[in-house]
Amino acid sequence: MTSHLSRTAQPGAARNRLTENYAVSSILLHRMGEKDAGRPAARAMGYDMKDAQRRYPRLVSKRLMLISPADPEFDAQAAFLAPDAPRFINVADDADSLWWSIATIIGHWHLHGYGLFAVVERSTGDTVGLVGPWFPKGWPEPELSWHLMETGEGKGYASEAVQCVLDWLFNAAGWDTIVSYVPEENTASIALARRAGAQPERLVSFPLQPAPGLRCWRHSPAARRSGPEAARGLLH
Amino acid sequence: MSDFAPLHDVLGSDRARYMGGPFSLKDSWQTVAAEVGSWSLLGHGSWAIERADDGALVGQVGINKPAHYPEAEIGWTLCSGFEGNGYITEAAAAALLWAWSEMGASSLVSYITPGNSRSVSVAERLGGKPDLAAPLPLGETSEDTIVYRHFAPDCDGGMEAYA
Repeated sequence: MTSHLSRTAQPGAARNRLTENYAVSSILLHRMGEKDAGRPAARAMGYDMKDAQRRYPRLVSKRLMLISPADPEFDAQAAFLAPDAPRFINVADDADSLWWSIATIIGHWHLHGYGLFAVVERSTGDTVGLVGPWFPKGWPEPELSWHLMETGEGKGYASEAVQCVLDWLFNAAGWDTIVSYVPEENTASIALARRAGAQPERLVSFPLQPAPGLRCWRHSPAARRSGPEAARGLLH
Repeated sequence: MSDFAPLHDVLGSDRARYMGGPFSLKDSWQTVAAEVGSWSLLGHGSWAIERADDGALVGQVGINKPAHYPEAEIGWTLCSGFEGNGYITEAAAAALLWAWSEMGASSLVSYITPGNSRSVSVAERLGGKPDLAAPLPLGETSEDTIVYRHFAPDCDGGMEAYA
């Protein structure tokens, strides 16, 4: 937790950079009269989409920004792998296997063009989890997967990020279905899947499955509302 | 400063007819200067909208509450030649998110001149609804101004806001 405290030691500075310069896919906003001050600050915070938009989408919800960990402007080393990086919840504290996991997650973007997004808390710039579509070799079909870090616990961030990714997949990326594989005893994830509108299906078994006793939960566009309400929560 | 010239091209033209224009150079200057100064005075104000690809000034979107407004308004201006790309909707949606999360506002209005159907479309795409009971800017009547109201999503930002 020392890392968390040290990186939020200047919340005022981070807040200004994050909130005064918004960039979304095709436009950039700077405070009127601050063109020269605004743009470099936006770029420094990764909010200038000029170079990145063609390869990696960024999603923005009310409190979060979702960015590909493969995006050159995202520092995966600092966010996930540095000795003082916050830990993932419910993941064994094993620095070696975490390195391979993060490398695989980044490589997945290069191989598929999509993958798990790093979930960034907009008010602080802290990375609080990973959420997104996940389809490594051996998976029966693409899975919407979520992993929360201790920096994001108890704030509804997993839900907000899952909703944001589902809106993007179904409204912008043209997907028509995705599943989540959830252990039967993981009541928190089951509740999240239900709230996101997913329907329970069969128990699944595949050779590389990460845990025993997985049930398939299916997300579908019909379970989601589109239109202005959704657009308010999703800029990409 | 580089934002002023293209904005005056709009404010000084017939495109500003629904904003009380066309404006003289002097009045354009005072309008833009007030939007800049609003940041210091009120903590909110206007943003210039740049096209990410080339930095071209697309228009402006702002959250303003000059003294004669009963509450804060979100308004927008689109420069000629940038129509049909959804830039204003995109920028205004970002500005609304900013208002909900950073200003802590729970609702904002848009004052629209009757007949300005393009602005009505933007307000509706943003999820705004006509508010017939809203107070009007000082000296204006319902013949001058329609009020659209935008509401923050459910305030905890949780599932309810999106489900």
